[in-house]
Amino acid sequence: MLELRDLVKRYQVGSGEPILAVDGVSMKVAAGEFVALYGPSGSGKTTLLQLIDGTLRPDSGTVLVAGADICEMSRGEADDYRLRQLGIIGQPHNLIPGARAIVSASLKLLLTHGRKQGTPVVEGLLRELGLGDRMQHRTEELSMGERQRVLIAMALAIGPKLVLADEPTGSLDSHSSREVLGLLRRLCVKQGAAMLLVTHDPLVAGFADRVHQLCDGRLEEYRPDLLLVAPGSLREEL
Amino acid sequence: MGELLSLRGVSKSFVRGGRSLPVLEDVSLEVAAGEIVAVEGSRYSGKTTLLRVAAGIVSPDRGEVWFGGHELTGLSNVRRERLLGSEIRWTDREGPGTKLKVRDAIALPLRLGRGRRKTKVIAEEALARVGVADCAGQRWEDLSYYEGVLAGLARGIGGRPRLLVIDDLLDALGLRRTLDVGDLLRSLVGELGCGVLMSVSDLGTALLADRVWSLRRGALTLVSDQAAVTDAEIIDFPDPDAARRGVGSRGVGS
Repeated sequence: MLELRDLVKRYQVGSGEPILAVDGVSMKVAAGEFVALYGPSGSGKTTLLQLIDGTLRPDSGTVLVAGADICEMSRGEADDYRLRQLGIIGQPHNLIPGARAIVSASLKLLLTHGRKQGTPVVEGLLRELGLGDRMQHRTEELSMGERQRVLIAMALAIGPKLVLADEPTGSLDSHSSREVLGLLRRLCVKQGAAMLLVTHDPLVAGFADRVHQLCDGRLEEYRPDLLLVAPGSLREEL
Repeated sequence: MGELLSLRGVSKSFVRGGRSLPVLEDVSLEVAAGEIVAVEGSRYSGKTTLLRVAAGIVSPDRGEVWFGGHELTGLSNVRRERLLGSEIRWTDREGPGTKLKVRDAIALPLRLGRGRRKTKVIAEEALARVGVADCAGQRWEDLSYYEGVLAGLARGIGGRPRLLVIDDLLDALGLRRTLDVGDLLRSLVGELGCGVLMSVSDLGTALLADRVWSLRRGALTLVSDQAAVTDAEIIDFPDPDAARRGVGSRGVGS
């Protein structure tokens, strides 16, 4: 469903050498597959997501989603791809103030379809996400975990081929994180959507089919031991 | 000018770490049609909570919020949601976060209050009115800081609200642009006949308002009244430590 081929993106900062934000990244995510991507700040995660969602053009390489090359799309085509084919799961603080859960979750579908078509789909998703009795509650009456689930419903309501999630558990405690990740995985498999999740959260690996690690723009084998620092092990460096 | 919005004896606390944290204590405030009212305060002083209570987004623990003859806390979620898509408009710095075009990002909240197709036209008209018609097809994330402020104002005026609630949008613009935005806001208020309640951190932004309240430790103090105030020296902000020392505030309204 998603295929990245030798993707390269450089940034020119000042008059020095260009910075290689994404350096020859190739990977595939199949329909119904859940792939986690780890990387510290500055590793190129955000740039990579922007290349996949079509808001940024690579210097070389290709991004294929369901066989279509995102890099060859016009701006309007890329906007349409983002709206109709891509489920983007953002941060819970972006929900509209005062809107009920059912309305928030319907908003993206409203842009692409009519209200009547959308409501049963969204209601079904909210029930599956455990929000059956919270649909009429306003944003401010929902916990952060519930708001994150509303965002998942909004992203999945359009039946996306590809779901991109940037730190979806960033605002959640570990109990809510587990719930959200489990539901996200189950729904993506059920819908046959490819799922790429960018994160710092070590819990995510437990839910993923595959795990990659991004370091200085390059895709590396996942080494969880490299992400952990033993207590006291860096004292010598002080 | 009759009162449009009235907060009467409003209190609100949040629970953090098992402790009750009072944010607003017995706060009263009014906004009339055609009037710009600012609430000044430092970060985490409770400005956003005050504005959310005023817009009917958050219910107070005690007190009443009256808007256009309705007590907001007594309304159902559906009625409040409709008000927020029509007569009361909320705007702040937050974009929609889903890489939507500016036109769609403004149109979406309007769906709360009205039917279908016209929302995109309303969004485009609002963008044109504040001078950024060419931003309609751009993504919110790609706007410059100043364009984001103007698009935020467009989000506020779309649908011709009676009350515009602006949270922390107009600060840090520099003097020239603050004055420009002030002129624009004043002319929008004149055209729409709406009232404005806004939170500010900058003194310069506070001066755009007809009345400025200062929020300290959950309590409001009136620090300036009337648009005629243009000299910063006339504004006498309360000393946050005065209450603790027992010497009282030096504010105009104290």
